[in-house]
Amino acid sequence: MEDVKILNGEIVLDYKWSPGQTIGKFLTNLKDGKELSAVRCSVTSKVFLPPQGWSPYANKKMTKFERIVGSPTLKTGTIVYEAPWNKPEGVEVPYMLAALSFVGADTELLHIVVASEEKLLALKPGDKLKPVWKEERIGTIRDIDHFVPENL
Amino acid sequence: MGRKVAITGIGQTKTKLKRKDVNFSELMGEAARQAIEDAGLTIDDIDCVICSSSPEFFCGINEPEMFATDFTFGVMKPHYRIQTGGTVGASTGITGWYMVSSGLYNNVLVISGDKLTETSVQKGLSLVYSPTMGRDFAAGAPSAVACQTRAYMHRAPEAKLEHLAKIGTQMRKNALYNPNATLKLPQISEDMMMNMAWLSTPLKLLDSCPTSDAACAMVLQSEEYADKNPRPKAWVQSVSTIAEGVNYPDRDWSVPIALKEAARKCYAETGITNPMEDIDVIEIYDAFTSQHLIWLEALGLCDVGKAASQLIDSGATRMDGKLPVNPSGGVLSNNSIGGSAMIRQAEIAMQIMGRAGEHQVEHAEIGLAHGWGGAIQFHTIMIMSKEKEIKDSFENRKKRKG
Amino acid sequence: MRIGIIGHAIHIERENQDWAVEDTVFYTVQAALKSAGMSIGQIDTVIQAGDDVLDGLSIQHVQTVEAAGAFQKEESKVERDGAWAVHYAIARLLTGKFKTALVAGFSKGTQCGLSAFSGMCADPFYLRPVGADANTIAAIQAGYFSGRTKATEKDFAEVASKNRKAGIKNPRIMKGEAGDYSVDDILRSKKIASPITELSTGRTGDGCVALILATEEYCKENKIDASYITGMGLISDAYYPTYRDLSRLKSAEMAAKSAYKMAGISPDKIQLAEVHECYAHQELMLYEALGLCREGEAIQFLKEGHTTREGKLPVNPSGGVTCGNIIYGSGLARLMEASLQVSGKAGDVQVKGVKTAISHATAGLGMQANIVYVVEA
Repeated sequence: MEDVKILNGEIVLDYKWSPGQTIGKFLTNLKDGKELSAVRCSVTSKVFLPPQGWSPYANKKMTKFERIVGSPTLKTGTIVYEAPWNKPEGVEVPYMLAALSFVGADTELLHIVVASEEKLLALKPGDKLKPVWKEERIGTIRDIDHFVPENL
Repeated sequence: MGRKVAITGIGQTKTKLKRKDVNFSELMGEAARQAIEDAGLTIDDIDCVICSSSPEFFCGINEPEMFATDFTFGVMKPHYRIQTGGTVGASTGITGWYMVSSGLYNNVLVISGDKLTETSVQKGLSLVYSPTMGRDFAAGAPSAVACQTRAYMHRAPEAKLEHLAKIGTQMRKNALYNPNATLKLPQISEDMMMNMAWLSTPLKLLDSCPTSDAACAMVLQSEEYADKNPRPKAWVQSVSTIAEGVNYPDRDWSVPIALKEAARKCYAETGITNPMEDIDVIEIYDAFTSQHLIWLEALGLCDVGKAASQLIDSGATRMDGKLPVNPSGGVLSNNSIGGSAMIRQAEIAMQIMGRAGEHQVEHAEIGLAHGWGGAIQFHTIMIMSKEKEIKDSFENRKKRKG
Repeated sequence: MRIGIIGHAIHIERENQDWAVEDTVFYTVQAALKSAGMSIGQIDTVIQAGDDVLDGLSIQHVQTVEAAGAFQKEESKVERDGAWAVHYAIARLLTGKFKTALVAGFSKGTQCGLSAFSGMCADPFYLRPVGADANTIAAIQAGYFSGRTKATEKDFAEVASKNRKAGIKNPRIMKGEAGDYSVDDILRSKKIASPITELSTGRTGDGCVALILATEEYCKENKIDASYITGMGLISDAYYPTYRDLSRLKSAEMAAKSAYKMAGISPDKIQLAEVHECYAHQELMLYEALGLCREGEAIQFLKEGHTTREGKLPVNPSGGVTCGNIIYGSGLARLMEASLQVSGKAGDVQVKGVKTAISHATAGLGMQANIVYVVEA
């Protein structure tokens, strides 16, 4: 006879999140135009990627969208070995969570790089990466499914 | 000793049941900007921000104030969150009061709100129940309050369903004069209330509150800064945040001992000896109609068990009555949970400032704002007056009546 | 400002299957009262620190409020590390309305897990879909720090080794976490997200920290030999990690300056620091941010042995969070340890002659918010 020491359970909730105008536009441009959008702060001229509607340090609304083109370079990345609770869908460890520098943006985009562990280990800051888009895009940041090293 | 504190700015987000045009951060930011502008200040003037919301299962982001930091002016400032369930808005307003009264800060921004329309609210509320004890039977807030209502009606047999209908009608009629109320039912009548479907006996559908996306914000300033501010102010005279237990033995859900204690303390602190006479306007957190009877009795406005006759039948709590309760239409007309309890404080402040427009109570000198949260166990009270010293407000009233 | 810390208790373990969250809070609060020789009736106000997602319960303190002794008391709850609840408690004391306050910061980390708790903190639009949680964002932060300072995994492992060794003599850490781990042991432990390995970060467990605070007046009236909080500062930074300069901790720097100003001290007066290093690299970042060393000199500072318990400026002589993470109790535990040090009550991990110490706590992905206390004898 064993004492009951653990009660297993889970909480499942469904959400319909409103992204708001700015994030909504970013997601729409990903879906419809395979386009990365950033926003420029009118006070500091800093370009924020991914965009949000409020400039954090200047404390002003940001509404000026900028189109980001070109492939990013790696600023830094971490090879993820232990799957987080919110492991990106369709991806197995090890994969990389990376901070990606794009020309024209002053902040790095956090996204994933999928490649063999060997290739991930070989990646260095400054290396070029390119996006792999989903065939069917629905308006999420994973419309870019992942990035891969350009010299694959 | 603590410094005197005044509310000098108020912000409430655009009235709409579902704010699909904004995300959580943007909703909170909207209220925040309004309050600062209303106070005649700039973002740089603010030296501390308390930014709260109700249980994070509603917005689906843990520590949502972190997500909202940029939009609520927390970047490079002191900024954190209080969480006390339904009364979180009031608890937050009160935290703001402590931040100023303590001498730590001079111009504090408090914000509280939520997006309730992004998930199932009742499912989120059912999570209040302990997984080991009650969650399997939980039916959200209505079932808990329904039990509370039954318990009350058992010990106060004069209280009938008709009284609940009267209260619900009164509130929705008040709401017609409040531009910030989300539930507008011009056709509301006691018949309509009585003929609604059951929600959770003895409560019917309209005995309950709506759910919406809303945020409320206020600016609280120290005496030194408030005196320099030409805007109208509401001086905070007394605050209390008391918790009773949830599972303690012989708990009588119809007797909110925490509220009674909070009232006792606040009245003692402000010199209120006869609340019915001494207070001009009250905003209670009425998530359900029956709570008018229970909270008002606990606030000492009537004899035990006599709220139905002495307060409702008598018309004492109507807009044209002796002590108007919820001129705003209450939570019954506008509920985002996160913002609701702060809106009670904001509404009282507006009454004191003379800014309540069409739902203004004439000569509102002294007001009381109440909030409750949790398993109906957290109660908060904030008493405000027009004059910096409450005794001067008592004087003003005496002169008017005399 | 002088607010006395007059009672303390901690329960911290890998897993406690005998206690529910409320039990954890109850027994810890009882122990804190015992340490102060007080009864619950002598506590005027209670501020808790807990999280709904961690407890899997909406309005979680519905279940813990009685356990924390707040029945029919003036109480409230902060949803962040207990170190922030201390800030609120101090504000309450400073108004003169209360003489004593109890703060309890807790979590049963094993119920939910750090990743779900922190993954839920990631917004559903940008961060959650790419697997951002406490570990992965901290790992990214380490990359930025390395990019600026050339710090290596070995440097980080040295911090973890120092802390796990320091914890050996501390009964107040998570059993099983302290030990004579070498840099190699740390490096070779299970990989989590490079450069973070299992031993270079604090294991998430179950526990609670309770502190009893009192006004200086109360301490004097009752002849209590307390340690005093003389300064505090807290600052938040932007939410999206790369919006900040992730290679630095600007918010911690500002918070520290604010605290030092309030206490009327300069950083060179600091004799000891207890910091909230969930990840080893963060301790190095804090050497700079808290003004313990100059910018760019953190690695040097570590390598020269200054921050060991025998060094000239011990950092985490308790073993730090590396020796066990109880999430909302971890930052509060740092304040507790700092207070014990200046009171001469730190037992086997006591650093001799410490009269001025600081404690630091952090919150949010990549240390978005930081709070610093100055504690003096």
